Amino acid sequence: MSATAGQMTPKLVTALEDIDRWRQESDTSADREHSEITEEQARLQREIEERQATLETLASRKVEVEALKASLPGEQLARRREAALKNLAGDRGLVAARGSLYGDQVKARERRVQELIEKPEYNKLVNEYEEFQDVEMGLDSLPKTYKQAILAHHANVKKELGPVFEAMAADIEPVDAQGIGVAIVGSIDAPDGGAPEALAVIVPTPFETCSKWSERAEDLASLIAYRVIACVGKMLAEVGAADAPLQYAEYENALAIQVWLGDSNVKGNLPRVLDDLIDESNGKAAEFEAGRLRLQMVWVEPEVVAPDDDASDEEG
Amino acid sequence: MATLDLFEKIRLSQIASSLDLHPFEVARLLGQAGGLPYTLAFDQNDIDKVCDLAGVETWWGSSAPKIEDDVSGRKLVRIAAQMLIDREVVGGNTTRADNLFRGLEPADQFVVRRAVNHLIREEVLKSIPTSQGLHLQVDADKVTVLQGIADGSKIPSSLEELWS
Repeated sequence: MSATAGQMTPKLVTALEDIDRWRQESDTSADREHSEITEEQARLQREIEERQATLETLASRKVEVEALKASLPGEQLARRREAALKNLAGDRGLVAARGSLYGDQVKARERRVQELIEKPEYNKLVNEYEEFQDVEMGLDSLPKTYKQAILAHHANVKKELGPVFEAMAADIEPVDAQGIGVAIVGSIDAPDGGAPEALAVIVPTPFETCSKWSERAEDLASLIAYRVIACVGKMLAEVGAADAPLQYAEYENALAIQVWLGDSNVKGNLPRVLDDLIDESNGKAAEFEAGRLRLQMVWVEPEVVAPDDDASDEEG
Repeated sequence: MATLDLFEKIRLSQIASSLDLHPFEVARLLGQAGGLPYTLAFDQNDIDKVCDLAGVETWWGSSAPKIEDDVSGRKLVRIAAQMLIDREVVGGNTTRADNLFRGLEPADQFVVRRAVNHLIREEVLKSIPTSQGLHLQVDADKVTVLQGIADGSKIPSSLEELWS
């Protein structure tokens, strides 16, 4: 190696240049990373702000949902009450319409009997039978033999009129309509989940079946009311509350049977007993078969059927 | 009565009418006594059965005690009091409240009803709810009060106000 071709630049220069280059590169690298971090921080900050906004929206929605949830029992009660009243009115209509068809069938049976008694072989006997009703009261004033003879003749007339009696007692022909089911709404008031204190049974028949029974015909609505009351009576006997007092009241144009159980020691499952008895009555009632209708107990909370205002009561 | 009615069996409402009861009361009693029949058509035996189940009795009539009194309202109440004693509606024995009114004219029923309500308030009579409806009972220690009313020797002035 010659002197001219030797190391002409001092090593320090090169070293300093290397250091300068390192510094420049490091600055550039640091600036780049700083910039990247700043950007990432900004991005995260934006994200945090967005999340924070979402959290606030969710918190607000959560309050709304909690309020909605808190209102659900009341809303459910209101809806159940509305449904109960609407269906009670609907079932009343069904019973009325079915009662009309059933009444037609009763009249049809009467027409058949009328045609029978107008036949010559029965017409004279019917007149005699009718006249006997007038003279029966005075029979005691007649000599014993006369009375016996009249009674014997009457028994004979009655026997010959057997087909007429049978026709009048014949089952009512089923109505020409589809079967229907109507709800009997029941409600038990048992404060604090304890012993039942009161029972309400709402029947979709007019209250007049109770209040004006002597002025109106004993129609399908009356017969339904009798069946339900008989079931309530039997149920009370079965749960050891046979003497529980009953009251009848008007409820939304329907009949409400109110039973005070506060002075009774009710044993057994009252709703189940009544369910079974009502269900059993469906297959054991001629008018239900002829009217093609079925009853079913539907139980609701007392608040669902609690009257809005004081209803007038009538003791049964 | 229409001709057809002669051939029809007795309806539940007719049982009620014949016994001066409400049909719902008849339905309840028959329900408790085993249930209603398949066809709601009845005969005289059923009326007798319901009469028995309901504890229906007719107290007024020829068998009522004979008590003379110038004041008609007082006379009715004295007879009613005597009937409660005669029929021993005392202690554990009870009777339907309406047995005291059944068979009376509406105006007379009104007088006896008011007197009975008054005596319940005064705790001379006790009212007891039953499956047959409201029953009456006289506590043994109240019989002398009732006897005083019946023989006219000690009628409470508050009761006298009902007909004065």
